Amino acid sequence: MSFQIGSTLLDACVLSVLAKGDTYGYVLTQTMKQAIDISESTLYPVLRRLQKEGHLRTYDEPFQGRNRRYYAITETGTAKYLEYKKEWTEYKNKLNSLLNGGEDSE
Amino acid sequence: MNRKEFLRKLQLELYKLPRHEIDDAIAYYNEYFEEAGPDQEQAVIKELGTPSKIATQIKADYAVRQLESMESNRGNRAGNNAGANAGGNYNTGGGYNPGNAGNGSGNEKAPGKLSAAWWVVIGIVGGIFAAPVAIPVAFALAAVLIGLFITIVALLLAGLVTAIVLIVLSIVAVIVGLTLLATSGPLAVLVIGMGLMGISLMALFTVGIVALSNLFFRFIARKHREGQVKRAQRKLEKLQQNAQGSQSAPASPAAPIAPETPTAQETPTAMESIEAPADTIVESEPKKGGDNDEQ
Repeated sequence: MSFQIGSTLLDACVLSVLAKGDTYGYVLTQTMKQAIDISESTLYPVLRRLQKEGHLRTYDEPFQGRNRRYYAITETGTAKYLEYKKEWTEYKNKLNSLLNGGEDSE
Repeated sequence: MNRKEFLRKLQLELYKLPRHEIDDAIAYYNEYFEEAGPDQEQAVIKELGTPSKIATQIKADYAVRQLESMESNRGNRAGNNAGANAGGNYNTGGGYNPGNAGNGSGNEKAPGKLSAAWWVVIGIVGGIFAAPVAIPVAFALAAVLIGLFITIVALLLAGLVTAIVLIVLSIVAVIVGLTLLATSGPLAVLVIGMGLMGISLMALFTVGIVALSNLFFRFIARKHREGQVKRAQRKLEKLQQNAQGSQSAPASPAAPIAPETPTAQETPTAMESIEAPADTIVESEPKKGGDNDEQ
């Protein structure tokens, strides 16, 4: 797949996964990999940044004697996610009409 | 390479970052290895690539975050990226580019950073029109500032030397006065008194000079650092675009020919300037609060 993904879209994807529920790094990465071709190392800076911007927060849960860091979306994060969803729909429709020459397949 | 080595190498490469950042990064990847399971260890290492590569990404991201919080702390909202980036956010040619992070999130804290494309335009157009005038002006400006700097330093030094000399003289006066005590009492007392007064006055004066010099040099250091940070920002973009092998159009943002700060003389390599600003940023702003993490 040759389309690379910009950082904004990455943010949107992370937020949309988290919007469905809290999760931890490994599961988050695997979920994202189902949709887009990213490397394991891509996600960490994204999560750091989203956390700094206040769109997500973290908490730790012990699991089998070690620590699992969970990521949870915040209110601002949810607002941002909805914003992204709207932008994406517009963008997607424009791209579709361009690529499909006017036929909207969705 | 096994997981322990990998994490150890990663930690080494991150040493310039604050403790908190290093720990979080290592914890994240350690947890990842744990979750993947021991049988996946080699597969994960292969996917992650080299510790250097990850370390670079983490440092770059940290530097960008520092830049953004520095610039937003200065209340810099000017020249927002809206125009250049509104369409560019879903840039499919750009790869994962942490350099665009601040702009992409539509954050009103986003720094007044023009995208690389705009810098190229400014550089070319500005350069064509301004070069005959701008370059000599830049040199003149640099010369004036350097002259000013030297003058101030000279004045401070002169003041300091004067103060020290006078202190010495005053001490001598006290000593002379003491020896005179035997012969002419009142005169001796006068001389001693003047000597003592001289010492205290000059001591005060010295303290004042030292404080002034301190302020002055700190001011200079700050300006220098800001210049470095700006240049690092541009080098960051260049480095990321190279690292991602991106085919997106704006290659290196052309440094504007218009005069910047006169301290912009050296041109470190891209890697060094990643190290340098992270270094400068870390060492000089350790409590900058760039880590407003909600833990």
